[in-house]
Amino acid sequence: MTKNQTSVSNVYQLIVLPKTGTQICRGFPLPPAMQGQYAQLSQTIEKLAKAQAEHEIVGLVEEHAACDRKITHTPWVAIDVQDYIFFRLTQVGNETQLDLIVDTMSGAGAMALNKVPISLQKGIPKLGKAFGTNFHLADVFVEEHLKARNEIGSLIVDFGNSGTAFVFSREGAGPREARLIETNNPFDPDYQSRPEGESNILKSNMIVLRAGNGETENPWIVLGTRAEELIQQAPLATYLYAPKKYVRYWPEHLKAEEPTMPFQGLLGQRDRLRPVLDFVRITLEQMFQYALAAITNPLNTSHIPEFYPQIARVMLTYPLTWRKVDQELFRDLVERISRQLFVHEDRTKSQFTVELICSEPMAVAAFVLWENFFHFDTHNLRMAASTLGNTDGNDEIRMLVVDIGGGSTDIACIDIKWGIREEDESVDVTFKMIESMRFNRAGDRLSHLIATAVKQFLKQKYSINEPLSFKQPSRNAAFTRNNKRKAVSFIAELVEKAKVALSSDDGTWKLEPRDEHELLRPFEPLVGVIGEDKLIQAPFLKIDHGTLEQWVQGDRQSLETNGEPGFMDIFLYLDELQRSLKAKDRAPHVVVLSGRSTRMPFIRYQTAKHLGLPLHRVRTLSEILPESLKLHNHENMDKLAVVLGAQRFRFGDHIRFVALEDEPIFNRFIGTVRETPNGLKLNRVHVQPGDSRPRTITISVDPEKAVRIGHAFRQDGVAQVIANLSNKSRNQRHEVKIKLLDDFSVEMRAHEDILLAEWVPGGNDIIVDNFNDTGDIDREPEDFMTRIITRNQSAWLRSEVDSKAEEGDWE
Amino acid sequence: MTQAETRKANATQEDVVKQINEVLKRFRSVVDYLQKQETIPSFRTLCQTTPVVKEAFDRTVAARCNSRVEQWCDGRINCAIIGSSGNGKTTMLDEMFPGLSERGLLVTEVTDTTSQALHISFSENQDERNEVVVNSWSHAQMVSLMEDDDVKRQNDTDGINIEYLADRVVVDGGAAKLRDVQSFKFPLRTELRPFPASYRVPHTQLNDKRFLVALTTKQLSAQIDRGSLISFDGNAYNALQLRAVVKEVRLKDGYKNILKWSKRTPQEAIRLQFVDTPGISVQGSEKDEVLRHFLGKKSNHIALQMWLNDELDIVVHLVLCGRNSDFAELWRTLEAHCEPGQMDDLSERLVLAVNGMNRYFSDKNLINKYESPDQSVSGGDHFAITIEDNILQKMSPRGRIKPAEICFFDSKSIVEADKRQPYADYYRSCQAIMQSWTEPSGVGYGTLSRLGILDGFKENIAALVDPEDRGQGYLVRKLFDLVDRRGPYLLVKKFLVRTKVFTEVENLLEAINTYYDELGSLNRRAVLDALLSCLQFIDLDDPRSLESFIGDKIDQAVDCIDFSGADQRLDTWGAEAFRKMTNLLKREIIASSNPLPDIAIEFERHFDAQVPNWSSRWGYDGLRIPVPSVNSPNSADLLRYCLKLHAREIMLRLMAEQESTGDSAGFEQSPEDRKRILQIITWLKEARSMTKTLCASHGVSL
Repeated sequence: MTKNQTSVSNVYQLIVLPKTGTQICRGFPLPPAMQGQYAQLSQTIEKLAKAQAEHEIVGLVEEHAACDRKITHTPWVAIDVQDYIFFRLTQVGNETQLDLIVDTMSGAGAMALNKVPISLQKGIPKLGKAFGTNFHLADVFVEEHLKARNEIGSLIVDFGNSGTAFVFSREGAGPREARLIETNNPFDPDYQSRPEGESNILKSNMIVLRAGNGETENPWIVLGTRAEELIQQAPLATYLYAPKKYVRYWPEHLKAEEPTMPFQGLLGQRDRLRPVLDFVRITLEQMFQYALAAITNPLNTSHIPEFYPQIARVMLTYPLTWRKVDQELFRDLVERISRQLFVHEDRTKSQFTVELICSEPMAVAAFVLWENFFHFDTHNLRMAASTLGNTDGNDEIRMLVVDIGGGSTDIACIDIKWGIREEDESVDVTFKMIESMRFNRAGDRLSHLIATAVKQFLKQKYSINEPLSFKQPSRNAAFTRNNKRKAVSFIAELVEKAKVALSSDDGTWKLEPRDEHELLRPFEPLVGVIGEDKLIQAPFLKIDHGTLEQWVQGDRQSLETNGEPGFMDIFLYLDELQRSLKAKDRAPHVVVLSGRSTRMPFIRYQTAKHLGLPLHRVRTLSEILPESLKLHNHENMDKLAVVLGAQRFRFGDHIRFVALEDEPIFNRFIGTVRETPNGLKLNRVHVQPGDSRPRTITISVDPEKAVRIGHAFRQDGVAQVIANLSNKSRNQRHEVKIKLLDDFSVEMRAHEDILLAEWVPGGNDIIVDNFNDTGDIDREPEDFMTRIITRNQSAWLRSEVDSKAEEGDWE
Repeated sequence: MTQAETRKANATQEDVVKQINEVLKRFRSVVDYLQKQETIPSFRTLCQTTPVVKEAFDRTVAARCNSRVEQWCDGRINCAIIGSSGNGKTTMLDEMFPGLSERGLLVTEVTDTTSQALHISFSENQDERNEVVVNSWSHAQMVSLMEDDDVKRQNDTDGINIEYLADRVVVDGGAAKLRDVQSFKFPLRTELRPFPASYRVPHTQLNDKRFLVALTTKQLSAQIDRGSLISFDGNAYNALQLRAVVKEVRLKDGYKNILKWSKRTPQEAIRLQFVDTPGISVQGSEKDEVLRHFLGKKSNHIALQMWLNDELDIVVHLVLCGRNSDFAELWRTLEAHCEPGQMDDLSERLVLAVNGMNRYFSDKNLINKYESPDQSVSGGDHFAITIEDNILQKMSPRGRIKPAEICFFDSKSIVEADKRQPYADYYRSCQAIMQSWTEPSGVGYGTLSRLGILDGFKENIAALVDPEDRGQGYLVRKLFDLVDRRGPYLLVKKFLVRTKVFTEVENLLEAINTYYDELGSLNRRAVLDALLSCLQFIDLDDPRSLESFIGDKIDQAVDCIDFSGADQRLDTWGAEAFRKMTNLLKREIIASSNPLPDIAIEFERHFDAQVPNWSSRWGYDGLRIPVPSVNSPNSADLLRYCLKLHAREIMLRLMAEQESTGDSAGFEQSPEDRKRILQIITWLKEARSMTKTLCASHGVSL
């Protein structure tokens, strides 16, 4: 490792702070005296690069660094491979510059007060120490955190399955001054072509780029779209799609069931299998590093840190689907990461907290309400309320938030009331959750349906019958796991394209010949190289709103699914919810749809239909205010509403939010569950709506038998399982007391023979819509989705010749 | 307050109580009358066929069920005394209510009292004074307290298991990890069962000192009686169970000192009831054995429940001089459970009672403040420290609060025990110093002026020096003054606004006015015919039908509304735009349906009759959105957005009315029916008018 050195040269210094992720500085200037020497310098660097060719890590940087490849540049070289500081020379116009990468988590960049010269010894293919240097290009200085300008504030995080967003809220700043952090991926050579909004919302997918050597070494992780691309190049690397769905507390007795993965990078590997939760932690760590890097060096061009955030508080949102133990697990995870990563001055260190600020739907509601109240102003809240559906002229709104995320759907009916303080015209707002539903069916279920259609298309048109499951061996050995991985990843990419197309008002998605060609590449061992003539022949894959809506209508709980619900069950439960709320005179005034999937028009229509509401009372986040009043970035509001809502919930300025406790009553019938030809029904009812909660009930479980506990809106309605009690004793019948905490949660004291497994509706134990991680398309149960989509096959597997394809646009 | 002023206030209050009851009487009559549906068949049909009316009526019935509406307003004002443990509250009560003390109902010799509220009301009748009523928590309240995050966590940590059964809560410490478990006197498994009704303490038991001590204090293990103290509805309760389940004890007293100090008549005194709330921040005691965590949080929950039930009209916050206020802790609990606005008017009904005036003459730091001028300049004078910094700044998590009154008092027993001289002698020696603080050159003068209590403080000094008053009398007089001044406001707000009586009177009146004319004649059938005919082009089963009609016919037209000249009509531009939109909508509905002229006229009449209500309810009347201008470029967009949404809302309302079905014969109205409806309308109008007048007269905003 490089020791501190003193430079006598008059070169420029790149000043970085330790523990601020992988820092990139593009276009770093060389001293004037060295301008015009690009040819000579580059020659030396070329030689050096050849000498470093044996170091794979340099190759990794060469291939993945987020620096412009189109400008004139030298290869990347390392100062010392142990230092994790890399540079290359570029020529832009007449100016010679440096691009620098400093890993501030490991090596020389991690040690405060280190000064690392970037020097070349003329003619010698080895990076020089200061002594005897001919070309001293620059210095990297690692400064102490407190020497930089520090700003105290809070970091608000919405960790999502599809994307993650951060807000830094400076102490004393108003709600609209909060800074949405635009992250930069340090390992994405195509960074310039990424959509603008992607930096606000970091796609949560991860791939291990470099595993590193020791357990304590910081691995290099790539997040976002680039990770999706890389998994197609390196199918065996550790890859996590939608990592949030793996946040789950596994008690000791269920530990064996916890999913595990190997630690395999594009470069390097570590021994043994690890719980997936380890990779969730690594992903989160990396995200926090991205956030710090983006704050200190927002455009990857800062020569000095813009400022260092003294994060006094990390505030987290969480899905309703998570149990208390999952929420605490997540909080602890973030606290551990924060304490390791953030450098605090004494004052903030003592105050530092990690808070679970509110649930995601609550944050969405806070965002909607705050933005409305802000624009209407305190004097016109009656009007604001009426535009949100309360036309009675009083100070309350019942808002139903339907948040269909990447992996789960949270539905919350929130009773919102407010009062104005006359002395300063500020508004006190209370939120009280009066009903909630948690559901593990969401946008990924729609992806799964579309992926099944793609798979079916391959079968129909190209007779491809091979399973894509990574675990299942292929009948044709040439169709390897690598091929499967590539195929599944590309299918996932197509599905994303389809969902974007289907989100427009009259959108239709068609598999273009160009994409079809690309899709077939991994299948070449099975079908050979497909000529372009075949691509423009029928059948064609074309999906429109109506088709998808029909598929969804078929995707519902039945005996065939073994009681597991489908996407349609979201709407069916909305129907039940609506009846239940109406019976209590608590029908919602307005419904807010959040989550990217809700952009699909049929979701709005189905929601309105099943809630018995007119369409204008069911609004997506883009419809809550007129165009001219929307925030910058509003096109991504589905994602940002959570993090911005959480920020407003806590720092709402003159609009203050207080969350009231839920009413301590049960909203459902709860009891034991039995299977019937019409789905699961309640057997013996133990709790009725309106009973005070919690409640302790006694359940008998026969030897070697299991009893399921479930809830339903109606006594004879369809039930959802919330827990399973199994008796492992061979001969003893047990009566156990279990505590029903609310409509979803149960507790039981440890018992020798009885095992309690809590279920989350939609199946948290078996994550069935993660085909991206497993290749298991349509296997839960086998071919269930295929049966649904083939019912209207002629609607999407078209036989007519497509005019565009005839024009040969695939080229 | 002079006697003349007091007399006037009394008259006003009596009048207010009478009027509140008149409103309640009309409201109750309306609801009761309408609920007997056979008496007004037309209204029954209307409810069956018209969801808008049914919903309005259902809400009205719900408001009728409110316990405040069920009872008449008796004009009594509850005065809650709230303070932390150890601030001298019990001692003060002991001196204020010597009658109760003599009967052993106030126990002062121990500090570890049980957490329960003590309601003290006035009675001249000796027999009534012997009535002691004990009320328990409800099952839901016990569960709520047991589920408090802290209680739950602590119980979990200590291995205390809780079972929630339908009629009771079972606390099981059988597997508890408590180090003092060996010394427990009560069973480790304890059932907490709410009383089925109020428990009237038998007279024999009232003379049983042992019972009273066990009910009101946490006795030492050695003295405690482990057996059952009472048996009620077949269930026995031991002392530990009573500590947990008892929420409040209701007592009656002759107000001997109160009457003497206030110089009020018994008729006036009856209006003021005192509620001694358990101390804020009371911690769990080891004496509470397996219930220690539950009982540790009971005090705040009692205050919370009383607040939620609107039982605390005037709040006396009692703080020992020099101590910090813990009120913020209670505030946070209240804020987390109350609806917004409930805390807003607290300062108007808050009295700060500072106990232990003698501390200004015995605490060296405080003495320094007024004896060394430099000290008072640097850190504020003794009042700035003890009142502003220690109490007013700390009372609310939202910043400083200004109470309606600030009173200083002391306790005779404490002063005489501490100073070892008669109270009167001691205070005579301090009087000159106190008076110097009221001089413009005196230390503390500035703070007393700033707090607005300079004049009152002079009177307060005289009271403090008087050994028969001790400032306690001054406090009582201030409470009566506050009742005179704010009583009507508090009563009107409590009985007519918070109960939603006024809101529901308005709603019901509006709903009835839509379908009956001023003479009580039902025009529902004509309206229904008009709606059916005029909205036939909308497909009720297809939500897109409404969207496409408004999208095609209204949205574009709203985009074209011209707001030029709006700056000349600052107050009306919004309402005018709304009228334009409604006129347009009405025209388009008629154009799309092309009804017969008579039908169109009826539809227009029905539509136009509702426009003013919509305009008012949806905020167009009195709109304060800035007029569109260079400085407010988005105002026009915002208003257009509202107009488009409201066009849809109007359609929705009309469609809801149109959807109504029913026996059209029910729309035939008998003269008797018409007469009764007219009576209902009259009552509602009177109730509305009386409430509006009452609110306007006493500063209650609606």
